[in-house]
Amino acid sequence: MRIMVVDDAMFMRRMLTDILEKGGHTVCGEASTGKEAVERYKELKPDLVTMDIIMPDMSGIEAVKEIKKIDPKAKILMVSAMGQQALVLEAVQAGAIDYVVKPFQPSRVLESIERIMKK
Amino acid sequence: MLEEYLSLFISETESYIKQLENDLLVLEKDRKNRDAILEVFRILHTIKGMAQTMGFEELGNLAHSVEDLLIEPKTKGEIDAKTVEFLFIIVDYFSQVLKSIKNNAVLPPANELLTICEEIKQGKEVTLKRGTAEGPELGEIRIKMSKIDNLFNLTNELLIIRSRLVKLSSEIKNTELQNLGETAARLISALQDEIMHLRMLPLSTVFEFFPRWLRDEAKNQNKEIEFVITGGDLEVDRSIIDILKEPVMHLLRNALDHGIENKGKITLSATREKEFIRINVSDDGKGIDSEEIRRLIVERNLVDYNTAQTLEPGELYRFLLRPDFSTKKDVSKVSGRGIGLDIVNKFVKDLGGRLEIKSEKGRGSTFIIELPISLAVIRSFILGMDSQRYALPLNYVQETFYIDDKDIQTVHKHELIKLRNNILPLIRLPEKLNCVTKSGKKSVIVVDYEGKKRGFIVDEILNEDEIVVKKTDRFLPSSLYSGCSIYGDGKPILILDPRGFE
Repeated sequence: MRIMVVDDAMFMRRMLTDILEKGGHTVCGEASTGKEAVERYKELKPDLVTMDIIMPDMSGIEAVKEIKKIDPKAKILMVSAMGQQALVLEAVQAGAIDYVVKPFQPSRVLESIERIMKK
Repeated sequence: MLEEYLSLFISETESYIKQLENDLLVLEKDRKNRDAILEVFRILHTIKGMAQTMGFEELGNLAHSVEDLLIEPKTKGEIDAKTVEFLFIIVDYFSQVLKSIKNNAVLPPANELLTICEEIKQGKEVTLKRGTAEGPELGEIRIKMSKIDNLFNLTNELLIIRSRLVKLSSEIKNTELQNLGETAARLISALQDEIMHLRMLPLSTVFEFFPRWLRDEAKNQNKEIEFVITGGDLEVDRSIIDILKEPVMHLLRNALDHGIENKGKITLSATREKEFIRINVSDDGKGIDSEEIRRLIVERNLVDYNTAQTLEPGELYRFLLRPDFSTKKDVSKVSGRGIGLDIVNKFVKDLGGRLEIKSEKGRGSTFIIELPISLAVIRSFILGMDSQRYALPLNYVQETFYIDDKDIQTVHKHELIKLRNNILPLIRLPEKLNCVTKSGKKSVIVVDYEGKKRGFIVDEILNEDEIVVKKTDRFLPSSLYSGCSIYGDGKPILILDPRGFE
């Protein structure tokens, strides 16, 4: 599956990319702000997006809303640090499918993606 | 595998620390600079996520706690001078931590800063001195949390030794050794109790946050509420305090958003029952329409029409916790409950607890979170089956009795037994666990989970014991187990999760 990874920390992007690639997926692109995520989504049309919440420029939640406007079928998995549960809920209401809380187990990320694909 | 990320973590955190310092310098001159406040929040949040991922727990916890200090400034658009000063100290600490990581040295402890942070949150007067520590008061000493954690871990190891000692001394059958074993066992239990208490904090540590927050939320929605808290003095393990805030906050918000129409009362109460704490969030609002749920679950093909008619309200409410139940449209029809409840439920379940719902149409609803007092030590039955041993946490157990195979009735291929005029469905554990079972007299353990009672048939209950839960990968290969422990003879033992046996 072609996946776009969105997170403001390079460290997190690298880690997620490694996990996804080890799980047999292709990371087709990355973004470090919400705005960049929306732009890159248009251009890459990935099968799935992993989305951080607290980012500069535009939050992950706004980005979910924007991406959903462009592509109502977009599949977005929220990946956020603990303490942002209320925001996770908001993201789910905005159209994200599932969430994973950092620090995450690699298996948790891959399982979640598998579940999303089955839906 | 994390090693490869360490250098990336260090360099990225270093650049964040510099950025943080610059933002703080801006804020020192202009405390109303909203952009800088948001930036500080974001950086703390990012550092938290990275630190936790790398397993630098103290750094992550501190960043998490400090992040909360920014919540009010973020909405107000102004930060006070004291918080800025404290953040400078935090930046110093972060730099020290990175230096220690680079030198492979022991990381500086964060608990003093964590305490100050909590005090600031509670609006207490704090004196901030960069790089110095305050002296202790007479008759009191300050102990670093990490030291208590070390003690706690050591007593956990002692608990394992205790079980071995008791087992061995009963096998050897020497009275003197037996007496000694019993005394040692009692002392170890007492020691463990004392240390568990050192780790306890009153629930008010979390509850204190809610009155002001709920007042503001209610005001935003033009609702008039009376908010009552009871049981804040109940003490629970620190590991639970740390995680309790979000789920409770969510239930309170749910009560305000969907339970209360214009005016009403919300109650947050905590009580202790055996090894559990119960946290109730109640409102006197319009309640949940169970007939509407009944209609919806049939419409959505979650159950067939006939079954739906037999479900009791409690069983119907459980559908609200299912991720596949709620959509925005349905939810507004059923008084708004639903969105996010599955997520609260997941949090609570992950902690080994449960979420229950009670409601009466027109009278209000109560959401009950039940959590174990400690996540580390649990009292369990030790079961013997096919030369294997399993632990079953006592907090699920209601009673036990013996049965003979001839007492068991079979209805529609389901085995059950009559117990005081109630029907108790039976589950044969050896069968589920692929064990060879013994013939003859067996024990039944009545377990109660998620409002359902089941009789677990087991070959033998060997013992009742305190077991220490070992951290495992959260994703054990089977839903039949919630974790594992090391038993008295040094062998691993799996902890059964009754919910997995349906």
